[in-house]
Amino acid sequence: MKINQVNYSYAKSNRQVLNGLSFHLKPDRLNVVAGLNGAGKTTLFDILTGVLKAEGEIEGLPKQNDVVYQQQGVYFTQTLKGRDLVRLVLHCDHSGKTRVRKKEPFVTPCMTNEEKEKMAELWQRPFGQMSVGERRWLLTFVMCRLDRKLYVFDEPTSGVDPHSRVQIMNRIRKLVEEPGKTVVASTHTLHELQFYAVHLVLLHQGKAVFTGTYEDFLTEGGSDNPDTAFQNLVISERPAVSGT
Amino acid sequence: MNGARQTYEYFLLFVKTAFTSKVQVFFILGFPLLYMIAANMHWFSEPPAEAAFTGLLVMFVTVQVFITGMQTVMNLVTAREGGFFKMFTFIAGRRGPVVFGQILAGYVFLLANTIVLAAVTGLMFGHFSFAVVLHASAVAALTMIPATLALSWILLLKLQQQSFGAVMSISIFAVLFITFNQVVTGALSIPFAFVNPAYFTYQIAMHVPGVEAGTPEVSIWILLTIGTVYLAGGAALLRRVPLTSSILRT
Repeated sequence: MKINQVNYSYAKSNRQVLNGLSFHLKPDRLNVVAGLNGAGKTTLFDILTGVLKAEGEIEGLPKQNDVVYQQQGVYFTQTLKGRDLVRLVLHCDHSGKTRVRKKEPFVTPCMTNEEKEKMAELWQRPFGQMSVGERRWLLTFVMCRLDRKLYVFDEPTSGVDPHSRVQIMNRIRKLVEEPGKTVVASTHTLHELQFYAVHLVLLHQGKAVFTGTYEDFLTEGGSDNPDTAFQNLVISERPAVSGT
Repeated sequence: MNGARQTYEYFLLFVKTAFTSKVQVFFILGFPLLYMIAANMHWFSEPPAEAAFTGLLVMFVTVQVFITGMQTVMNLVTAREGGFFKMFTFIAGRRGPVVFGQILAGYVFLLANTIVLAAVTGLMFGHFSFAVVLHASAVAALTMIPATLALSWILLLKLQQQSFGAVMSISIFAVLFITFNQVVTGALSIPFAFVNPAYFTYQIAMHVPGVEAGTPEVSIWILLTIGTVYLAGGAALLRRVPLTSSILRT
């Protein structure tokens, strides 16, 4: 997928949220969009998923029916149990035929033993009694079960403990390994990216000020500390890179 | 077939949410029940004539229908503001099942509460009969969906969830006051039924046979036309409601 010269500003706002934004999304890597709060990550995701219409060109964008869009902190009724959430998502999936049995925790051959145990643990537990990490893992797991071409995860690991974060990222990594799927996520936790094959896009002032691998990001940012590299890249006045 | 299955799944979720929500149960059953009893304590010592009881009961069924309609629209606002609507439209591939599931859940929730209201007050005031319960249920069953769709324009307002609660409470009391106090009569009844789903419901209730519920001011044919406009207008509007909040980032 190629994003070419995309512009967007909200109605009744003078601020150009995306300003000639151009970059590529790579199907064989986890595409990670990073940037300051308010840099336009969620706006970009809304455009990629067709929720918002923007000026510019996006090549290779799948139809909305071929997209999964997991947002930050979607509100669910607190009395909803783990099994209800899994059932709701999988039974409502327009492309799937997966049936969920009420009494048996949902397991698949691709799950690790730890994941199977976690699923069994959360199956009867009300959503309100799950930790943030458990909620995010369950939601991410079930969204990854949907068969689509484009997966968009808006800050899937924000506010999540390290253990759950690793489980969520591993689940997303497995998704990236499946052929024909493009996965995009946003994050503020840059340290975790060193363990995954990522294609990083750094958004700043409506443009991509960096695109490339995590290693290239550290090199260009001039530091082994990704937070420092991030600061160096977004604070210094840099010309926007062309889509690569 | 897929759409029916998806609607059923959302219905299960929303109906469970409704029946486990103490606030919704209080608003739709507790409030009308307590109000009806508190305002008619003298009926315990002097039992009312059946027409007096059923005439009052349809007013409170109208209250239940109107509150359920408002609550259903408020639930859709909550689903949109919380990001649920957007995320699940991608999962289901269409928005219809989320909306219909919500309306269907409100429908079943209302019917259950109307049956309880009619049965409990019928037993308390000495007029419990199958005809009374059936009449009340029929009024709820016939009017809930058009009344809810008539209120769907509220989704176009740029209201936050917190504001919506206050607006809902105020509008419920204002609408019910003008509906039951004969503020509008005669020739103005028709346009009034057109703009006020509570009055529309109340007028329909008086047309439903089985019990004596009062004398309607608007003919059944005009009410059927208004109901059709509510259904068609509401359905067209719900297709155009944005998926995302215009106030909050989701």
